[in-house]
Amino acid sequence: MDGRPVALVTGSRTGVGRYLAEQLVAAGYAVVGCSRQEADWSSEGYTHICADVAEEAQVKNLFAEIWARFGRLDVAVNNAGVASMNHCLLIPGATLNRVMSVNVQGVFLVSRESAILMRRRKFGRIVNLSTVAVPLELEGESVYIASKSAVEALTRIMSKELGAFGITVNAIGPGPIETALIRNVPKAVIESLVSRLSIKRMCRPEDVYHVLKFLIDPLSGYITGQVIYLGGA
Amino acid sequence: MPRTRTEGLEVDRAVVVSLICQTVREIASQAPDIMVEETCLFGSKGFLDSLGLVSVVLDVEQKVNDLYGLSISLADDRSVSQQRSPFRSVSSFADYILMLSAERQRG
Repeated sequence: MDGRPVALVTGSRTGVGRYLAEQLVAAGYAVVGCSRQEADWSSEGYTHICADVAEEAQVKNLFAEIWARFGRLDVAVNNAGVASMNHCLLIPGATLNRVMSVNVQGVFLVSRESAILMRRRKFGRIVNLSTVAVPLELEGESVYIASKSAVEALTRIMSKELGAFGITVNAIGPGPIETALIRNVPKAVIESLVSRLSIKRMCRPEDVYHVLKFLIDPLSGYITGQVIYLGGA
Repeated sequence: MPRTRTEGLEVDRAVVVSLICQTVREIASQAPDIMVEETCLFGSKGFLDSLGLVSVVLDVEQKVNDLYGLSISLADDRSVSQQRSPFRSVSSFADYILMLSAERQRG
């Protein structure tokens, strides 16, 4: 408890989550990251807690830890997510349940618990990760896009319900980024997606951080309920 | 800031009622000067709006958990129901907390 603002990044073990966590540490935040598994990286100013965001009891324990260690929470980045790229006729029900559990239930639980802590100081910034695949309505991503559409709905409605507590809720919709999430997606599919963007290149983690930095700025208190798509979807 | 928990204390109804009344007064400027167990908080006879109700419920939850070392959650689907809300009066609110506390302490 040294007076630094505290940020939570879910799914921070790898990929974009790790990048965002590292950047937030560099920006002076005390950062708490979480994932189901232990992180294989560490940094001064970074604390990793194992938690599955789809499990309510684990989420509650995560926030009890944050409260006990830091006594505040300023920023929550709902980055943890799983993807399902498949024809709708070939998606098992179990896949649907898992994607919805992590991407929707996880965002809801983490946002709810974040807001409960944030309201104590009447300040908070919740940022959810969506995807440009939502406005592009890509074939082969029905379940993933349905889950991220739900995330966008939560973003809009929670922004209204939490505004009175000084908490903003926004979402960032990146284009495809080179991470494990799209490792199994055929190259042609990615190229096709990129060709539909205004900016014809893959999205980079720094593109996401640039918008995140803007949304969590204390001066961004009048910006809420927005989804910012990257790459010009 | 986090408080030291006094685990093992038995949840006392009079203390819970006092916590509820104190919290309501802190949040709702329109709270009556004298509050008793029968005081209606929410619904057609109550004075809390939904935002005030959320604030009261979360603050009382925090205070009860801090005081008794519990981790009860007062979230309930019936929260804003006019007839069935456990938060409709000081009395029903206290009953609800004691019920959840007993469940939690039984494990």
